[in-house]
Amino acid sequence: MTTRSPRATRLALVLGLPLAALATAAVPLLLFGAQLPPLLASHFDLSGTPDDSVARSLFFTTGFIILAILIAIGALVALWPRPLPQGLVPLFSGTTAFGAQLTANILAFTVLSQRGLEDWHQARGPVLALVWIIGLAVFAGGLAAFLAADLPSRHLVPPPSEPTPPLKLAPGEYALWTETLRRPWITALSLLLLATTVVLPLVIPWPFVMIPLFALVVVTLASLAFARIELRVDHRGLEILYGPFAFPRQQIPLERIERASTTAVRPLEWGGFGYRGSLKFLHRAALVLRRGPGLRLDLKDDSLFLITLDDPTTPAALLSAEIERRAGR
Amino acid sequence: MLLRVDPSSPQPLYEQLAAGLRGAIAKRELRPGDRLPPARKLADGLDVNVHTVLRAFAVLRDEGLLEVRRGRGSVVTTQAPRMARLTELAQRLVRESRRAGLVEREILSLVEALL
Repeated sequence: MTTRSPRATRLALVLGLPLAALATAAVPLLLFGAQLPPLLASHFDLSGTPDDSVARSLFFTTGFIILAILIAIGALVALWPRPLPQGLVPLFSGTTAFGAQLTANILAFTVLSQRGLEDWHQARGPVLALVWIIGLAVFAGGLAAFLAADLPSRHLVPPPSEPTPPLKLAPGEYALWTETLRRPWITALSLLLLATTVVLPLVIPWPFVMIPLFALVVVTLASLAFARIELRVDHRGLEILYGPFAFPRQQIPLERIERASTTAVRPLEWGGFGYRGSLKFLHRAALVLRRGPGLRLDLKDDSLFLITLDDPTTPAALLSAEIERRAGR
Repeated sequence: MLLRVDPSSPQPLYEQLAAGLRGAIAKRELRPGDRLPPARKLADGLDVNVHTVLRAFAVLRDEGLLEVRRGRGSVVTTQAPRMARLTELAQRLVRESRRAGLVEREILSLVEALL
């Protein structure tokens, strides 16, 4: 699946991302550090007016110590000699990279926004700058988690279930199974969220509305994706189309599937309803829409994928038949 | 809904596909207002030509089961479940009558006598 070696991944996690964070913090300080007032504004109210200050040396000492600790934890996890339980490495790498880049961005913003000031009271807090301060940190965290997902880990896969007997297909015969899952109450919820998204900018002034508005748009799109889910199974594998725009779209090609079977899905085991887990980061994922029967796919890389369905036997049997045909049995 | 197409069967491919869709409507697996998967997707999945799928759609449109809208996909009509059931019954009547040796005119008069 991937051509990157664990060595290159570790190098990026231990050197690449930490160096980027260090550079973000250090370069502005080296260039403009001499132009900063002795006391720096360290806290701002909602309108961006400073309401607290801190000594310049203390501010940067603390900042770089936090940065060093986060980088050290991230490096320790990425270089750990034995495979750690699944999900742990992406979680730690992502969190530490996010924290390090966020710290570095705050240090950089402080230097860039307060250089040349005579007194900390003249400083302005980050309002629009929050976009890059948080955005870059989220990007760094996401990138670290994405890279770390390819490091070796210990998978915990429940005992295998019996594969479903294959559907009888003539040698040249092809079959296609499709089902659309609808949740009318999620559609109603999505429309309500959409209405709120439209009204929000009228109630909260710009630019303070930006972050809640962004959050609301994300939640609305996520909700809409579960209002209507279309599933298709054929000789190419499983395809899942989320939402009315068929986006996002998830594909599990037949070549990746080791075994198809039916199972009972207990939402509590998956931590609730919705799309639980992650095939990439945790090697376990489930589309849990209710309690009850489900389709279980054991994938070739020891991953596990589950979907709750009213009748999982037909798609399981079709996939079993196509897996057999592919294997030439 | 499970659709199957077998090229080794004597029944033409488009008829097999139309029968599969009709059956799904009669069994209520496809309900009025449901949109069918795009013809290209069905063709790829069943390894048939896209014109075969479109021909099956056209058959079902002529039977009043589908409303085919250009660029918007094919939607199951409100009267589709009843029509699908009737079409299936009529097909069975014709099949059984042929097996019993009746010719077209005899089958028609058989039905006419009941009207």
